[in-house]
Formats: sequence, structure tokens, C-alpha cells
Amino acid sequence: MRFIKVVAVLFLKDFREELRRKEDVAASFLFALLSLVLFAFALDPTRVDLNETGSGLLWLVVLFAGSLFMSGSFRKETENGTLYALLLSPCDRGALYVGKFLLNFLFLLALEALLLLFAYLLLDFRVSDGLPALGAVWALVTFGYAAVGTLFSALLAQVRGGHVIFPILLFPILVPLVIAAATLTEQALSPGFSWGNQWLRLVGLFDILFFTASVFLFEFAVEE
Amino acid sequence: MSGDPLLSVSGLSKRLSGRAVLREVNLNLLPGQLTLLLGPNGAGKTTLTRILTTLSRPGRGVLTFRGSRTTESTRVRLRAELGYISHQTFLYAHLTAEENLLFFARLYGVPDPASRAAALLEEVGLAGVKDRVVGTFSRGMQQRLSLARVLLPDPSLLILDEPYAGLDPEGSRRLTGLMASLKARHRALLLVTHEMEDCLPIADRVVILHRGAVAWEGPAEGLTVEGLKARYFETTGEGGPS
Repeated sequence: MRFIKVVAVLFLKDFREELRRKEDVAASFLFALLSLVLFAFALDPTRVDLNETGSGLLWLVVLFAGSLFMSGSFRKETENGTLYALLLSPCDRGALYVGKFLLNFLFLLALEALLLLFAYLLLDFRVSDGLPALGAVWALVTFGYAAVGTLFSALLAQVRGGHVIFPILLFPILVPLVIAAATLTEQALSPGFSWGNQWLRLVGLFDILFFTASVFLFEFAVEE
Repeated sequence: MSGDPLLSVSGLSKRLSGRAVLREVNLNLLPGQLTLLLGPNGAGKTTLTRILTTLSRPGRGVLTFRGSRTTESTRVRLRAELGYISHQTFLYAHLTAEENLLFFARLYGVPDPASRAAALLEEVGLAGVKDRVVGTFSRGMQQRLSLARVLLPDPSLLILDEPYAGLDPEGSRRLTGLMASLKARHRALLLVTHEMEDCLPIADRVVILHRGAVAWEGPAEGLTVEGLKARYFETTGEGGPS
């Protein structure tokens, strides 16, 4: 019970802070939007079928825009030493991780929803009947991405230039997840999507493995 | 006032990047006592406070809290009873003074956080600006709010690392008064500072750390600022703190 309470308290504090700071949210959304605008100009819709190749492009945008936001998760806590204040509190450190993870996860979902909307408007990316499957697939992939991203944000919070190293260290680990994400997105948009498919199982396994490991490893990630 | 130590370390050693930062340090923090920890830069004061606050683990030696050797669960209990102030404020600049206190009160599981926060804002003289974001506060106001944050769970042990940094004379006077009142309320205090003038009169013990080891330790009673400066020079070979 106390664990959940700490998660909620930290999540609400972070949510309020992000609404006031705005910089990371704005940078991330703007990056995503500008990328789509560039794609709209760069890709000729008469030659490229975005409904077939678009999933990879969209995930590329999600990765970069998401890393802009997530890299600051714990770095912001070092500005006035508040990371120490969190670590000095008598709560389960795993709860601190989950609180941060939750905000990252929900932010990424919001970013993806907006991305899909703009992809439809700018690139004629049609989701049509595949929306429930697509939503479920993206939520699952995003869960894993946020789990690893939050842990790496903690690992690099006190490293000089950590926000620059963040994507360099993070992306190689995400390779299986991104390949699965692009494949599953294509499959979700085509008829006959199977919920028992192997890629989906891979993503599920990735999520469970990395989320559980992160909750336990967090304590060591933030300790000297 | 004395009794069993609330927190103590014995035979504490720590190496960082292959270099011995602390060597066989013994220290006892007793309820109702203020221990003054002095030492030149690089003496190991910050490493010692980080170990005492559980932010870092000892390399060798034993950390004991309320008579029990610290384990994972006692470390959590220690954190619940510990207040730590450093030159950093540990405050969120984009939240208001009240929001900061409410957040930490809830994190510590303080009963009735709203009234506890209101009482402490009153005590540190910031009730009138409780709705202002902390980023607009002066250094002195932030340090006062930082004190209120630390006092939220009513800690039995306070570790203050350079708390006078950036404070004006009024702020320093207020801080010294607060430490004296905490001491009177049977709290154990460890003060790491270079400002001896203000705090020597309320100190009970003085520990001088040099090159990672306790170079001198003794009662503060009878010590004058000049006497302590001379002792400091004698043990460290460096000019004393101010």
C-alpha cells in the first residue's frame, strides 16, 4: 500500500513539475512534429506507400522524441540535489523508479497518439480498423521502452553529458524491441492480426524482463 | 546530556578510485549533543556524511544505529529518523513552498501533511509566501524552507553539511538558534562547517578530520575560537576555519 502511495505521490509531483517547466515536453513534441513535416516534404507519396513503410519511420520519431524527454527524468532531480532528498526518504527505492516510469510511459503514449494524428494529417497514414490492435501493440512496446529508458536515465543522471550519452547507450539495447515494434505495427494495420504471434510474445517477454530487472536494479543504479 | 549513541561508526574506512578517503574513523552521535566536524578540503568530511546518511556504503567498518548494526531494514529506519541539510537546498524550484513541503511530508508518510507543513512554514517565517514558487526565493529563504523540509518528520538525528553557506547574518543567527533548540529537544546533531564563531558556543564535541582520519577529538567545553583555531593548525598544518 505504501509502495503505491509513494508511486502516486512522486508521479503527481513530476506531472505538476513538467506542466510548469514545459521545456522537455515542448522539445519532445516539437521534435516529433518537425520530423513528420520533414517526412511529408521528403517522401513522394506517389512512389512510397507510407502505410507499408511508415511504421519504421514513426518508431524512429518515437525513439528520438521519447529519448529527449526521458533522458531528463532523473537529471532534473540533480539540479538542486533533490535526487539525494528522494534517496534519503524512508521509502522503497523501487517505488521511486516506478513513479518516474509511470510518467515516462504515459507521456510516451500521449506523444504517440499525437504522432498518429499528425501522421494521418500530413502523411495520410491510415489506421482505420487496426486501431485497437495498433493501440495494444504500441502500448506494449512503449512499456518496454519506458522501462529501459527510465533506468538509463537514473544511471546517467549524475554523469556529465549524460543526456548526450543516453541515446547512444539506450538504442542498442532497444534493437529487438524496435524491430518487433515496426513489424507488429505493419501487422496490426493489415487484416488477420494474430494476438498469439511470436513478435508479440517477444515484446511481452522484453517488458516483463526489463521492468522487473529495473525495479530491482534501480537501487544500485542510483547508489555510489 | 548523553546516553547511548544514536548513530555511531567504528573502524570506518573507505577507498574511492583506489585512494583511501577515510581511514579507521570512529564517531559517536549522542542524543542532545552537537558534534562539530572540522577539516580542510579533501579531509573526507563529505564522504563521511554520505556514509552516515546511507547515501554511500562503508568500505570497511561498522555503522550502528540505535545499537544495531545497519542492515537493509535498519537503513530504512535510519532514513526515517534522519534529517540532512547540505549546501544544496533539496527543493523543487518549480513548485511552491507549500507544494514542496507537502510532497516531502507525503513521501515520509507524515500524518496530516497539510497542518504539519503549515506549522513549519509558520515556524521558519515563510507562511506569507507559501504560494510562491521556490525558484523566486532568495538563498536565505530557500535555506529556511530547507530546514522546514528536514523537520517535517521530526527527525531524531540531524546532519548539517555546510548549512551556513550563502546565509546572511540574520539567517545564520536563526540557524544557530534552531540548532540550539533541537539540541535542547534531545536531538543528535552533526555539523560540518567552517563557521566556528556562531556554532562553537552550542557545540558539545569537536572532531577534526585530516587526510581521512580523526586527527583530534575532544569536548567543546572550555574551548575558545582562538584555541580551536590553534588546535586546527596544529593538527592539519593549515589555517583554521573562519
